[in-house]
Formats: sequence, structure tokens, C-alpha cells
Amino acid sequence: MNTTLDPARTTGEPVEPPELLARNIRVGSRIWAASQAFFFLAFFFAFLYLRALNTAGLWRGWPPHHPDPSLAFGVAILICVLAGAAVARLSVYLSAASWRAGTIAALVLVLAAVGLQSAQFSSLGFGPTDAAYASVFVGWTGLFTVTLLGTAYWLATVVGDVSRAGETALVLRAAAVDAVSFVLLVLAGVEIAAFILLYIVK
Amino acid sequence: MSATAITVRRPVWRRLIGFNMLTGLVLGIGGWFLGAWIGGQMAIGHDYLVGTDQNDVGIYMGYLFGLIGWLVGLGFANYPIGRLLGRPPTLRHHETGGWTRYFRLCTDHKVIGLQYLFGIGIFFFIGGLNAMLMRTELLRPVEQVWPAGQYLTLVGLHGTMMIMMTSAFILGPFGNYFVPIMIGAQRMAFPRIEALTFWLTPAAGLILMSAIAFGGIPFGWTGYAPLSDQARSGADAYVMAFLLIALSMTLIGINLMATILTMRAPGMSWTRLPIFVWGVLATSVLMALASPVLVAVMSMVLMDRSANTSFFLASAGGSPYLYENLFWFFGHPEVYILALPGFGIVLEILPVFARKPLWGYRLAVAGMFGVTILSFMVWQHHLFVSGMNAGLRPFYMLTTELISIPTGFIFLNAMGTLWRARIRFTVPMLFALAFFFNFLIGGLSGVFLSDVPSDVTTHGSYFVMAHFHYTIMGGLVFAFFGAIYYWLPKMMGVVFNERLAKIHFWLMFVFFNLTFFPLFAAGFLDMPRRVSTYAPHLQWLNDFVSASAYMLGFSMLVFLANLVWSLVFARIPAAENPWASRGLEWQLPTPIPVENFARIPVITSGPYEYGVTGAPPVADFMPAALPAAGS
Amino acid sequence: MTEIVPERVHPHGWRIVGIWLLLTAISVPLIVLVLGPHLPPGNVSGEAGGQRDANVLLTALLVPIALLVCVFFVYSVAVFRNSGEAIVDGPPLKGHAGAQLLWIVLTSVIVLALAVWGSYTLIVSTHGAGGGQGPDPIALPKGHQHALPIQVIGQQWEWTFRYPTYGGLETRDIAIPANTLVAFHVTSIDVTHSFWAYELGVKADAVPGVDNIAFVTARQTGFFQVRCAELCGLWHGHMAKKGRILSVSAFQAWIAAAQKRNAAIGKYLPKYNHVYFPAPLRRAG
Ligand code: HEA
Ligand code: HEA
Ligand code: CUA
Ligand SMILES: [Cu+2]
Repeated sequence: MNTTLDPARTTGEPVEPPELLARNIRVGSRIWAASQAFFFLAFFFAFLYLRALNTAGLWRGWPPHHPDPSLAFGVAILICVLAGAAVARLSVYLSAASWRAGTIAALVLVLAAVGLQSAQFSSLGFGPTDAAYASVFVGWTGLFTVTLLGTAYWLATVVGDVSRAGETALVLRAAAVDAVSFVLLVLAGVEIAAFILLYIVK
Repeated sequence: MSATAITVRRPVWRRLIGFNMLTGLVLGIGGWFLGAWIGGQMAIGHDYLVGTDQNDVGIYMGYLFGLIGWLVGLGFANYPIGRLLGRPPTLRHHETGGWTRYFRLCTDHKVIGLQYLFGIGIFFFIGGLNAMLMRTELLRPVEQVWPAGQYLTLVGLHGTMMIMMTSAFILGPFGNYFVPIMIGAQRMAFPRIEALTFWLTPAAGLILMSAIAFGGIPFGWTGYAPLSDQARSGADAYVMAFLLIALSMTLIGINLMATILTMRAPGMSWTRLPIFVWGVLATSVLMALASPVLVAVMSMVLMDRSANTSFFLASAGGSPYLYENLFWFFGHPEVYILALPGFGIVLEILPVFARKPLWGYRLAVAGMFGVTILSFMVWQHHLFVSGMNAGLRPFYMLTTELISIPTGFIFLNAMGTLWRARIRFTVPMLFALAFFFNFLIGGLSGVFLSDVPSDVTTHGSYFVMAHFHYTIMGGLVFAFFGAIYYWLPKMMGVVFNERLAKIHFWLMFVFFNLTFFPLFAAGFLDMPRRVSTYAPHLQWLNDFVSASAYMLGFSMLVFLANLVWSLVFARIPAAENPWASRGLEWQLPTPIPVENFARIPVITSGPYEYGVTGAPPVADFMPAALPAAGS
Repeated sequence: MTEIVPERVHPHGWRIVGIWLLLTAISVPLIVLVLGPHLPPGNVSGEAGGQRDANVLLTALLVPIALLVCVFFVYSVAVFRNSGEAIVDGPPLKGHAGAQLLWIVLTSVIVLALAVWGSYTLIVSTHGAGGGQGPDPIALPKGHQHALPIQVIGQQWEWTFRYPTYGGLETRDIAIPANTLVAFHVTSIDVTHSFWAYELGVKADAVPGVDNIAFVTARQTGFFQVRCAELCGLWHGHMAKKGRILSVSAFQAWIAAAQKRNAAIGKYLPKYNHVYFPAPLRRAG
């Protein structure tokens, strides 16, 4: 990949050529995704570590009452996140005409995941005070939802970009869709890990 | 909007209104009270409040809303809102307008660099002041000036402030200012994010200092979990401040990395990249990957303290080890975040004043990235006696000692560059040379610590403290001052008083060593860290150290005096290239125009071709290209 | 730009090596013979001796490395300076594959040797070097099944000690028998502390919910200094005590006296356990 600037494109006015902006967004989104992966790595580690230590035998909480999040919600959230990421990513490979529909669908799915997670919190059946597993569950899913919400805002701006097709260059719109969908893809990976650990392994 | 439209004169009071620091401060304080009130409402009726006089939820909400107020007041909300409303983004109007742009959201990377320099300088000064107060307490082996709790808060504030602020000590001011120029770009990849990284820093600093009002942070900069869980609300300030700084570090890392990867001018191949830029690149990898883990661990502390989760509470299924692991998984890369930019600076300075090419350029790059990769694999060397994973200790001993190899490369580069050189003893060169002496001692003392049998003696003692002051104060801070003396003529357009600068250097070098070298002995003589009282027979040693520390502080005042004198009173204009350096930044006029380069230059040669016969000039600034659009 | 005239080869390199060899020949014997015996933590136990040997060896190895770098720098600064005002370029040397390779090989060999030797002392010759090994120690000294267990409990801001083989006896001061393998079981009931017996060469974090084991055999009778090496709150600096190393018979007498003294309160103590869990810890105040 040639990552250096083309001198012919530049002008006295420091307004970057769209190709450069596009490359910035793409590269930036890859690094941002890596940062987020490391962020959730901490929770991944916390889960496995606390589970392995099982201090005072309290990993799953105080005996008769073991926290058990509802699997139905879990599956629903998983599906929404995966579908959102898949739709966003797929539209990258389709024609520019599909970007708008793709990003809107992804936005709806991501917001649905946020909504489902909030609904699950309000009917959880246990609380953050129920020892280690409950802590990891609440912390991981809670912060994941916050991250999703932030990504949803970004997605909304991308929807705006691709809707006003006349104003921004094609490369820029392509990069915007590509960037946000890549981050969503990584978040979907995190969600798969979360689902396996929090709902199946426990 | 054009630049000339701004120059309309308006009364001062009118100019204070608008999106600037003052508005930010007002909204921030207002936001704090609003948030604290909301948090108070949220927490009503929760049983854990019964019997305590504090409500951590309220305090966290206060900080959150305060932060939002601060950022909104500075104008950070305008862009996201505009984006959603469909207004096209533009940066231009953020880059113009007199001196007030230093107190506003400004997306010119050169303004942000200077904002960073002075912002961090102030916090560094406060951290140094704390150190002076600590040394005063340690004049006598009994408790005298500060009660034990306040002494510990001083230690915590000093350590946290210093570590937080010096993380961006070089990347903030010099990385932001010079990386785009050195790679031949007109700006950074994400200018708004760049501004955000800076403006989060004062917010974090102020929040950290607010801990004093809430019972202090009597748990050091490491904030080990059950202790910080037990502490009063000052711990909330620590958590919030560290969280924000970690966010800022993540973003600055992403931004600098993206800039270096995508914005290099034509001809700026990887082998022509200035070594400082390589150092910044390696550091930004660490920042982008390690700091998110700090965000995560701080949010776990936050939840433990406010939502009553039990990540770190052994009696409820958690484990203090989890905190220690996660903290040091960030904490060790963090110390190389402090070291690597320093390597970059000194290797950048040496060739200029040795008048020789950088010796072993590829080795230097390999050294930096070797350190980067290894630093993710050594964190348990801080936990050798903690009782966790004792079977892994040989592994961590090995990886830790392996880091000496890539770090040694940097020393070899320096030695090769000095070999048969034509050294000029300018002030930046003196600081660069002192860096190697100090860091050598600091690094080799690290090898003691990495050997487990030896670490059993010295862990938790002043030996560790001396080790890291040698690497950070002796390494990073010396490199920082070298960079100031080297680049300030370009950044500010004035020259320093050389006489005062040399006095500063010699005072600082001599008294730095007199302050911290004896502390290796104090550690060997079983003086634990973080104590305000100690064994009486160590008093003479500590008195000597305190006296030297005051002189060290005095040397900093010499620097400040020089800064004020040169900047405000003497104002002797600097030559455009006073050091006859080949660096791209030195080929530009002073002051550097807003857009740096009228046209993107074409790089024609490496930056260190001193003495190479027939070496072309570094860049072609007016490449024969299409005429600029609009002309 | 100056023209490069091939310089007459100066014996700079040999001079540097010569000065370095001289300084090393002076400093290393001084370190080993004069400084060495005074390096901490002394020789009261086998573990402490192992640590001291480590400190001596590291000093004797690292000082020459430091000397090499320093001699090179001082020599260069003294000899390769630019005389006069004019800026003159030096010879454009960009690297030397042989020199780089030599440096890489040398530092790698030193570092690997250090790691191997460090692991050997840690695991084989000093059985954990007196450091805390956690609940399942791997570096086990001979006869560890018969070691005298002593529990060390850290709490804000006091050390207490329990002797499970003497009926869970709890004391506020500590004595250990000389020439006997002792297994410290270090734990905490509130925050993290670190049990540091300086002359014994023992350091082990006291972590709530963890039984952190460290082995030590004292070679002679005498005293040792106990401190806390991990910040644990206000009076962290005051968790200091003098411990005693007694002959085996004196130790028995000391235990008997302590048992007698504590007979009345002994029944109120919680049962001996490897770890203790107080009620969930919440904020003070
Ligand atoms: C800039 C910051 C910085 C840097 C660069 C380093 C560098 C190193 N550090 Fe340090 N360290 C800290 C900052 C830093 N450290 C801090 C802040 C703490 C304490 C935190 C706290 O508890 O509060 C700490 C604590 C710390 C510990 C834990 C101590 C304890 O608490 O028990 C250890 C243990 O292994 C350690 C080791 C090392 C090593 C091996 C290096 C190596 O990278 C050094 C490598 C350099 C050299 C070796 C010299 C040059 C090399 C040559 C000339 C080549 C030839 C040399 C050989 C062949 C050996 N450090
Ligand atoms: C960047 C890191 C850094 C720096 C530079 C320093 C600098 C100094 N430190 Fe610091 N220190 C730490 C990081 C640092 N320290 C950490 C992490 C700890 C551990 C905390 C813990 O245990 O939790 C610690 C602990 C620590 C202790 C141990 C406390 C204890 O354990 O009980 C002591 C004691 O003497 C000490 C002293 C000093 C002194 C005298 C300086 C002097 O060098 C300071 C001199 C500086 C000044 C006097 C300020 C001058 C500044 C200016 C003039 C501003 C310039 C302005 C512009 C650029 C515009 N430090
Ligand atoms: Cu107990 Cu420090
Ligand atoms: Cu480390």
C-alpha cells in the first residue's frame, strides 16, 4: 500500500484531499478497534481469573442463590449485535446505493441491542452485589452497552454522510462505512466472547 | 469565514464570553454540583449508604457532569451536534485568532503543542512541590510536619500527578508540535481528537487535586485495591482522574499512530523517518493498547466503590490479585511510555551536535520496537513476592532481563554516534549526554530488581524508588529539558540565556545524582517506601537527600527564571536554524506558518546525512507540481 | 560539507579498552572483597545468604558494564570535541555490522546467563529465596513436610503470629528456632500488607484470602527486623517489630511461657485456618 501523499493533490489551503481523509479514517478505526479489544480483554481476563481463583468459593455467589441471567435475552442481544455488524460490513462490499439502507439497518439493530440489554438489567434477578460472577456480568455487559451506544452515535453520523451523497466525496463515504463497520465487527467478536463466557461457561 | 474577519476589536469582557477555558470552568463547576445532586437522588434509599457519611455515586456523577460541562464550555459539543444536524465539518475557524487561541479549543497542532507544554509544566511543578513537602517531612525520623494521612496523600498526589502528566511529557508538547512537521504534513490525522486529548489533561489534573478536599488519596499512585476501596471519597477523584488520563493517552496514541502511518510526505520513506518519530510511533503503540486496560481497571474500581460490585473484594469472591495483574499489565508498558520518547529525543539530538549520522539507525528502530513488544510480557516482575503464580517467576525474570538487550541498542547507537565525532557542547547536548549516564544507572538497578533473589531484598524499599527516579527523573525529565532547549527557539522564536541554561544543567545534574543515589543505600538498609517515620539511624542519610532535593528544586527555579527572562524580557529573536540541523522542522521559517508547508514537500534525503559528500538537501519545498487549486 | 580524508587510524579503541580493563581490575576485587560482605541482607539464614550472593554478583557484573559505557562516553567527550567556532562535520559512519553483532551477542549472553543463574538460585539453591510463593509452593526445601509452620497475619496496623502446631497459639511478637526449617504462612484480614523480615531475607505479601508461604532456615540466633513492605494505610510505617531467633530449647521455653500467658484468652480465638474472611469490607467512615 502506498501510504505517502501525492504532492499534486495539495494546495496552499490546508484542506486535505478526500483520499487522505479516507485513509485516516480507515487506519484510525483499525487502531481504535484494537484499543477497544484490549479494553474488553481486561474483562475477559477478570472472568477467567476470578473463576479460576474462586476465592472463598464465592465465584457464583452465596449458595442457595446463584445469579442466572436469562438466556433468552442473551441470545437476542447476541443476534442483534451480530446481525448489526454483519449488515454494516456486508454493505461495504455492495454498491454505494446500498450503504444507506445497510447503515440504517445496522443502527436499528445496534440500538435494539442496547434496548434489550437495558430491559435485561431491569429484570435481572440479581444485582452487582452478588459476588464475583455478578460483578463481571454487570461490569462487562454494562460497559459493552455504553460502547455500543457510542458506536451508535458514530453510525448515526455515517448514516447522515451517506444520505447526503452529493456533499461528500465517494471515497470518504466508502471509508466512513468501512471504518464503522470494522469497529462493529470487532465489537461483535467481543460480544461472542461475552456470550460464551457469561451465559454458557459461567 | 476568513481569517481577517476575526480581527474586529471587541471589549475584553465580550471576548471572555464564548467557547473558551473560562466558560469551560464555569460550566464544569456548575456541572459538578448538578451531577452531585443527581447522584444524591439516585443513591437515596440504597442500604450501603446507611452508616456512612459519603455518597460515592454523587461524587462520580459530579465529576461526570463537571467533565461534560467543561468540554461543552470549551466547544467540544458543537461539532457532534453540527454533524447530526448535517452541517459540513470545517476546522479553519478553530485555527485563527491571536493569543486567545491558546485558551480555546484550537485544532492547530502547534498551538496544542504549546498548550501541552505549559499545561503539563504547571502540573509537573505542582508534583515537584509535593516532593519538596515530602522531603521536608523526611528531615526527621518522627512525624513532624504532616500527619501520617496527609503525608501519604502527598506521596499519592506526587506519584499520580507525575506519572499521569509525564505520560504525555514529550508526546504532548513535542509529539503534537513536531511530528506532523517532521513527516512533512500540514496537520495531524484527527485534529479535533488532538484538541480533546489536551483538554482532558487539565480536567484530570484538577479532578486529581480535588482529592485533597475529599480526604486525600492515602494509597500511593498504584492504588492497590482493598486499600483504595476502603479510602474515603478522595479515591473517587483518583479513579476519575486516572480514567480520563488513560482515555486521553489512548486517543493521543491512536492519533499519532494514524498520523505517522498515513500522512508522511512523498519521499518520507521508513528509512528516512527521524528517529524521534520512530520513538513516538513505538510509544503510541503502547499507549493505544495499554491505556484501555487502565480505563477498564479504573472502571472496575469505580464500580466496586459505587455499585458495590466485588471485583477486588476477597470476602465476596473477588481478588486483590486481579487488580494487581490488571494494573501492572498497564503499569509496566506505562513505564516504557515514559522511556521511549526520551530515547527518541536524545538520539535525535546527538547526531546534530556530533555532526555525524545516527550510527546504527536500524538497530535503534529495532531496539525501540523490541522494548515495545517485550514490555507487554513482564508485568509480574512487580509482583515477585505477592504469592501469585510463583511458578512463573523464572519466566518473568527472563523476559524482564531480555529488555536490557533492546535498551542496550540505544546505548550502542549513542556510542557509535559519538565515536570520532565533532562534539559541540550546547545545552541540549549536555542534557542528552546526562540522560545516558542517569539512565544507565537507572536501567542497571532495574536488573537488580529483575533478579528475584535480589528483589526479595529490595521490593517495597527505597531501592525501587531510587531506581525509578533514575529512569524517569534522570531519563525522561532530562530528555524533556534537552528537547525544550533544543526546540524552543523554533517553537517560541526566542533564544535562551545560555549562561543560565548551563547553570541550570549543572545544578540539576549534580543535585539529581546527590538526591537519588543515596536512596539506593537507604533501600538496602531496609527503609520501606511510603513512610513518614523511619529508623533513626537513617536520619543523616535522609537529611542529606532532602538538602540535595531542595537544591534540585532550586535548579528548576533557575530554569523558570531563564524561561521568563528569555520569553518576556530579553526576547532575543532566534535564528531560523541556530544548530545548523538537517531536521525538516529547522528548514521552515520561524514562526512556522499555520499550514506548516505551503505545499507538501517532497523529501529527498535522510535527516542525518552529516558529513556525507554530495548529500542533497532534505526536501524540495516547492515541488514542481500542479499549481495550487484556486490560483 | 567537508571532504573526507582517510584519517590516520588512532588507537582510540585500544585506549578505551585499556582504561576500562584497568578500572575493572581495580573495582571488581573491591566489590567482591570489601563491599560484598556488607551488602544486604547479610548471612543470618541460607535464604538471606542467597540474596546477598545475588547482590554481590550483580554488582560485580553490572559495575564493569557501567564502567565500559562511562569510559567510552567520557573518552569521547574529552577527545572527540569540536575545537573552534566553525561547525565541522565528522566522518559519516552509519554503522558497523561487526560491532553491532558483537554487542548483541555479548549482551544476550550476559542476560541469558543472568536469567539462568537467577532461576537456579531461586528454585534450586535457595528454595524460593525467602520470597512468598503463594499457597502451592514449587521450590520446596528438603523436609518441608516437617517444617515448623508459623502463620503471620497482617492487619491494620499490627502483625500477629499463630503457631498451629502449638494449639493455634497467637502471639504479638515473634520468635523462631534456629537451625530449623520454618514455613511462614502469610495472610491478611483487611488490606494487602507485606511481611518483611529483613535479616532473615523473607518477604511475602499478606493478601486477604491468600495463604502465601515462604520458607527460611536461620543459621544462628539473634534478632531480625520485621517491617511492612506494602502500603496499607495510615500507620504502614509503624508495623515494625523486632523478632528473635532462639535456640531450639529457648524457643520451646518461650512457647511454653506464651501458652501459659494466653491460656485464658485462647478459647476466644477463631479456629486456626489458612485464610480468614471477615465480613465484606466496606468503606470506613
Ligand atoms: C521510565 C521508567 C522506567 C524504566 C525505563 C524502567 C526500566 C526497567 N525496570 Fe523499572 N520501574 C519503574 C520505571 C521504569 N523502569 C517504576 C516507576 C517502578 C516502580 C513502580 C512502583 O512500584 O511504584 C519500577 C519497578 C521495577 C521493578 C519492580 C520492583 C519491585 O517493586 O519489586 C522491576 C523488577 O524487575 C523493574 C525492572 C526494570 C528493568 C529490568 C528495566 C530495564 O528496562 C532497564 C534496561 C536498561 C539497562 C539494563 C541499561 C542499559 C543497557 C545496557 C548498557 C546494555 C548492557 C546491559 C546488560 C547486559 C545488563 N522496575
Ligand atoms: C515523573 C515522575 C517523577 C518525578 C519527575 C519525580 C520527581 C521527584 N520525586 Fe518522586 N515519585 C514518583 C514519580 C516522580 N518523582 C512516583 C511514581 C513515586 C511513587 C509514589 C508512590 O509510592 O505511590 C514517587 C515517590 C517519591 C518519593 C517517595 C515517597 C515515599 O515513598 O514515601 C520521594 C521522596 O523523596 C520522591 C521525591 C522526588 C523528588 C525530590 C523529585 C524531584 O526530582 C522533583 C523536582 C521538580 C520540581 C521541584 C518541580 C520543578 C518544575 C518546574 C520548574 C516546572 C517547569 C515548567 C515548565 C516546563 C513551564 N518521590
Ligand atoms: Cu501493613 Cu504496610
Ligand atoms: Cu515494570
